[in-house]
Amino acid sequence: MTASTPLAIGVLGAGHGHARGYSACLASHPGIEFIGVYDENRSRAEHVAGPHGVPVHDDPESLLSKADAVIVATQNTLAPALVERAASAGKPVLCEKPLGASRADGDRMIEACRRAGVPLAVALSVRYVPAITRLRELVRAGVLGNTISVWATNHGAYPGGWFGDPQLSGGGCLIDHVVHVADLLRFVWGADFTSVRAEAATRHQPGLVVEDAGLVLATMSNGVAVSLDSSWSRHRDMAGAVDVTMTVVAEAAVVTVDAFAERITLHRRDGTVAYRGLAQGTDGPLIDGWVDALRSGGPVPIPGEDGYRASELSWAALESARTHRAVNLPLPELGAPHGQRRTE
Amino acid sequence: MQPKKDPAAVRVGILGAGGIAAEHARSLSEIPSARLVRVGALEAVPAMPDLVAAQGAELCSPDELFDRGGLDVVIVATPTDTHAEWVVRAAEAGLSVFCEKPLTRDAAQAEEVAAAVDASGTKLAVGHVVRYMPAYAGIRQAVRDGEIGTPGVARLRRVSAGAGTRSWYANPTRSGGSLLDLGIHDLDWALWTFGPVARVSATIRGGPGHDVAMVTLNHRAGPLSSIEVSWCHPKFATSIEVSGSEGLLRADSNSSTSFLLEPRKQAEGMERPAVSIPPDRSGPNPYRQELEEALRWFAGGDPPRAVAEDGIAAVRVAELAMESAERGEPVSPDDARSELVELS
Repeated sequence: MTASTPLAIGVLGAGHGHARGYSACLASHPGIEFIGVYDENRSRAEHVAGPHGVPVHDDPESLLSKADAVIVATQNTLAPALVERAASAGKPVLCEKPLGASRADGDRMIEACRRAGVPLAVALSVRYVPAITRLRELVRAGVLGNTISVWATNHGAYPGGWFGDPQLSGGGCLIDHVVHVADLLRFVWGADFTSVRAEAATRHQPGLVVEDAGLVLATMSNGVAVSLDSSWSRHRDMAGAVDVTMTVVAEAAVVTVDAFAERITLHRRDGTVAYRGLAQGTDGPLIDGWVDALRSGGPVPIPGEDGYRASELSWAALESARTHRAVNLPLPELGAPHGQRRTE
Repeated sequence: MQPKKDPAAVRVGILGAGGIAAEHARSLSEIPSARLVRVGALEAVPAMPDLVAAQGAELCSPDELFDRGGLDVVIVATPTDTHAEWVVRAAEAGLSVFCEKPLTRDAAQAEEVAAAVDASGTKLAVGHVVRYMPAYAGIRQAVRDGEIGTPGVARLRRVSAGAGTRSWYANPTRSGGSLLDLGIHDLDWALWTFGPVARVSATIRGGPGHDVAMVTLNHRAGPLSSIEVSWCHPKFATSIEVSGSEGLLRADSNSSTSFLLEPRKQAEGMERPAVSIPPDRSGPNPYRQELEEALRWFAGGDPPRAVAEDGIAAVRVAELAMESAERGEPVSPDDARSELVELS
């Protein structure tokens, strides 16, 4: 592949809402030929492909045969089979977070890509928030001294649809909203999680069978204590419903990161309030970084291992919420033939 | 300035002459139905002698406060680990007590206090002043009025500067650290609003006088609470948020203030308080209100917002949190009790 030949990239599985954002990036990227969308639900594929005038593929093979690489952005429990198909076709994959609904899902995806020798990347795009970059620089430079604690949130509204169906999601807010902050913590501090305690409840969305309230206390290998509120405790129309925040207490300073706080506030005549974010979106840098790595043959920016470790905090939090016990990390190996995997 | 005192004013003694004792002395000067008789303490903050003199009261030793008699009510505002002995002594002398929070340093002392008050038939009010702070009282009322539907997750945050290495606050054996000293307010608010807990998880980091505690409560009635307290921040701040099925309530001391004075240098009339007392508010002074309600109860009126059992409940949960932090496991009140039985 030369710089002048566009990379052929398609969306393989579009059940996740983020498929639309990625598609917009693919369509506008000068170095990419957006070759279309496959989803087991054809109308969903049309919905995602339509705005960009790209074809809808009736089966995964049709898309894979034309693709240099694919994005899998679909339901948590459906992702593993699609990632496996892409891997066996030898195509690099960018997979939506989390890396599956369970550890077994995560193992399948890591294993398939490793066996096929294709790079697996995970769409933990919040890494590209400038305030996170700045925090990471300060931490890595040692300017803050040792970090003591992090009080974090990743709030949102119940997304609806399959997110409330444990057969497709594997859980509620603990699966959906723990991984971003989990990844940021690992990314910023370069440490791993050692244990987690979690509480879960369903309080906000009447009739929901998965949790919409999820509180996590975790410890890291560098001694940092973390509290994370991952709850779907916001209403969909609320201004600023989605947040990613961290209050970092370190020896030399207290640092507050509020990823999406740079915004204009609109107060409408009817009394409602809306925010207009001023920050650049994170999907663009995510796709750019991934495509650059594919072109250069270098390592992908957020490899499967990182996605696995971040997702592991979700899986363990679900277990802790169920058993009312602390869960130690990393989770014990599931057994052969995975014994040699995940050597970091 | 000073209101005319009722000739039948209740006679009050204050034990302790630190920052919060001075606050109570100031409140008493504004309450016509009460008269400050004496302040028993080993040392006093600079403001105290003038406050005492202006009310025609006197400074004496703690023992003298009791020995000279002629009191109806004692306010206990000494270091936390000494509360129990003074409350018991006051109760045995047949005096009603207003005890500063936390009621005691540990749950065992709380039981002693409860037994003494029961035996003497006196009354014990506890200085959970946050129950009188308009934002906290207002949010609780809105929750109870159903304005946010089913309550889901409460997030409570209370941070301040370190306690200083020489102060008794910096000795966790005496103060219980930021978890007991600051966190008792938020634990109490959560218990007051959502009732008893099924499970407590907590983590504590940092050193004596500069620690951080993060606590998760799972309330029997269903809601979850997440609390962060810190003695590591540059200045005092609090925030509270409660999500629910129908809405979200929030108050933040940094944004919800009509008046802010930030001294740039030491100046006449801008004395820096010894302990962090929440910033000025325009409404009624909660420190005066809590005393007024307690004094009315002692005189035969309705109970104030926080009495002995509330103080005990909050100390018990704080102790469970310390146990959880030590063991790294969630702790339930039933577990803790059965373990005590096994040990004895």
